[in-house]
Amino acid sequence: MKKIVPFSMLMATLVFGEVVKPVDNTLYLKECGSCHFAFSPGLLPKRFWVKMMAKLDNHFGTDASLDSKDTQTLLSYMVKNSGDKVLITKIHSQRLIIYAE
Amino acid sequence: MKIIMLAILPLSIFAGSFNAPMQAYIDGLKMEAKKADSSFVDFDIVRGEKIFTSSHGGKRGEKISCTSCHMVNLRLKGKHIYTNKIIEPLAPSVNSATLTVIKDVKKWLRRNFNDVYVREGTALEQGDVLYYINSK
Ligand code: HEC
Ligand code: HEC
Repeated sequence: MKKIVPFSMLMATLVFGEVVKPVDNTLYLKECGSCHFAFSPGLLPKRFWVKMMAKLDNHFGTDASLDSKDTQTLLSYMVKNSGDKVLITKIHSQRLIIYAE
Repeated sequence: MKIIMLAILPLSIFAGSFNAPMQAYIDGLKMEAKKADSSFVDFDIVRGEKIFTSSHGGKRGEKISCTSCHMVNLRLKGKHIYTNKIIEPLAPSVNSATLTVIKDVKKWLRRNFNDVYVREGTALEQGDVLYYINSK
């Protein structure tokens, strides 16, 4: 069964995950923490973040767009701290699959 | 005549009190609004209130308004309808940080108009709604 695992799933991964480092970037906390708790970049592999940041104007059905300078600054931070060992199966959240390929 | 003046006065005092960079931004919006419609005189709190409180189709295809996240009473904390995150009050009278940084104001107006109206706001709409928020 395909089910959309809500928001709390990634949070749970954060709380119970082993390797995820806390977010320490001011711009990231401001810009990725205004609509929801700022997910740690270590929760998802690099390619997820690259794709997500390429379409912030349609971010889960909401406009989260930023100017290109801030987008680039954030993306470098996210890529540097991304969780490339995170398994897709561990993410579970069906709606994140759009960023997988 | 005198009575009308008195009634209008308190609103215009509030609407005038932007910090210097924000006032410059408002002046730019005024020039744009004037260019689009030569009969334009000034932004209007009442029009702004309508923009803020009326419901529209929304980017997600469900009816929402600015008040869906910011509440009808702008002096209260809001709640993001899609994530449930608590949002600090939008009214400058209780949250002195709002409407002070042009970059943030532009960013949020772009995003939030897109979410509610599925398009960006015109200069007239942006000015009207900023006057409305600033009067709170
Ligand atoms: C304008 C609001 C807004 C901003 C800004 C924003 N997001 Fe989101 N984000 C959302 C919404 C809405 C959802 C979907 C929430 C839902 O439907 O439960 C979401 C979901 C997510 C998810 C998926 C969570 C899950 O469990 O599936 C991730 C990851 C995410 N955002 C990362 C980010 C990052 C990184 C940034 C900064 C670049 C960011 N967000 C900025 C509104 C925003
Ligand atoms: C889906 C939820 C949502 C909706 C709908 C929404 N907003 Fe917002 N808005 C936010 C969030 C979240 C913030 C950021 C709050 C923060 O940073 O503390 C924000 C910030 C703002 C700001 C910036 C204040 C500042 O100076 O920092 C303005 C102005 C604003 N919104 C106006 C509007 C207007 C006008 C509408 C309707 C067209 C609207 N909002 C609809 C969620 C929403």
